[in-house]
Amino acid sequence: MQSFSVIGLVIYTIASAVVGVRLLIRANRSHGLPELLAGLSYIGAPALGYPLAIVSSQLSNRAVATPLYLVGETSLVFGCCCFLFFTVKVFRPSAYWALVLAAIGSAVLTGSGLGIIHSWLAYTDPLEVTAHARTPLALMVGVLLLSYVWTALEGFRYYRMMRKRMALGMADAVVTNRFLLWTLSGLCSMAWISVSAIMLAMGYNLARNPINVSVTCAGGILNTVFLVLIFMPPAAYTRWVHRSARAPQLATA
Amino acid sequence: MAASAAFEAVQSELERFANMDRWNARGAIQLALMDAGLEASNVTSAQMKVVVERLLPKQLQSQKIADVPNVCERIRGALALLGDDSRADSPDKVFQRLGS
Repeated sequence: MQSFSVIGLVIYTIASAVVGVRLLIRANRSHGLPELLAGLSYIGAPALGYPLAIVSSQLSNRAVATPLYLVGETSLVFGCCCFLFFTVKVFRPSAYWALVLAAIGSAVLTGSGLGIIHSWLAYTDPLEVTAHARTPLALMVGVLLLSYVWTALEGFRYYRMMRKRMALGMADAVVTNRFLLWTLSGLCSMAWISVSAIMLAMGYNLARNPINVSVTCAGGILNTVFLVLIFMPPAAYTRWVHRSARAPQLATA
Repeated sequence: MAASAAFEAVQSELERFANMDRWNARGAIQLALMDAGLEASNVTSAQMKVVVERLLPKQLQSQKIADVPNVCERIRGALALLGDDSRADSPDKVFQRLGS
């Protein structure tokens, strides 16, 4: 189980780093804020923050583990905040309530991140760290869960709209499919965060619990597939999506 | 939430040529946009032309508007004057860029 967790973590980390860097390069060319937020989000949370937090909590040498943990936790919080604002910028750009929600979510994430770091710095015994970080971690997991529920809902709402546009010849099948993949990616993240929430409620250390790390990594591998299909779709996949979209039309012609 | 220029143009034409009040006109357009999977805030004139061609006549007929083909013809004329107003970033444009 431990080796499976490591493999899953490495795959998800590499895929997120590749997607994140590609998005940042694209943001540099297009000066688009959505590309920048998505790129920072993937670099900050899954490529840097989560693996550093996991790895540092396994190290016994505190002198090495502490700086890694601080960088990991900070990156994780920063990436998650960028993800919230990506949802606002793309799906609700002129909705004040969405901006306020993202700001509140980011404030809670930052506060809980500080709480978790404080527990790490104040205690050396892993059990004590876990016990004192439980409340801020619960807050962080709660906000993450809600942010993925929001992502999945927005993705699905737009996917349904794009299906209607496709029927009128106003939308591309591949772009429509991207919204479905985005929804599935949100649901996948939601599922693994839910497992984390249950583990947390049962009193386990999320970073050291093998079930939690394995579920997170399995979700990470699945999410890697979604990331590739959304951001770097292979030509064969886009051809398949186009063919699938044309098939019902040919059948009714 | 502010509506796009295309939306405002169609609303204005419905008020002028179909004798609809502001809220009836907006309601009819909103229903047609919902059927098309479009949003009032970022619908472009090109998208609105398709809506006027394919979906709006049904909405106007259900509201017993007289001479629907002529009303739609005038709306198309108004939309043609708008030109390309597709500069605003919509989710589909963002997702098109992200995966290209």
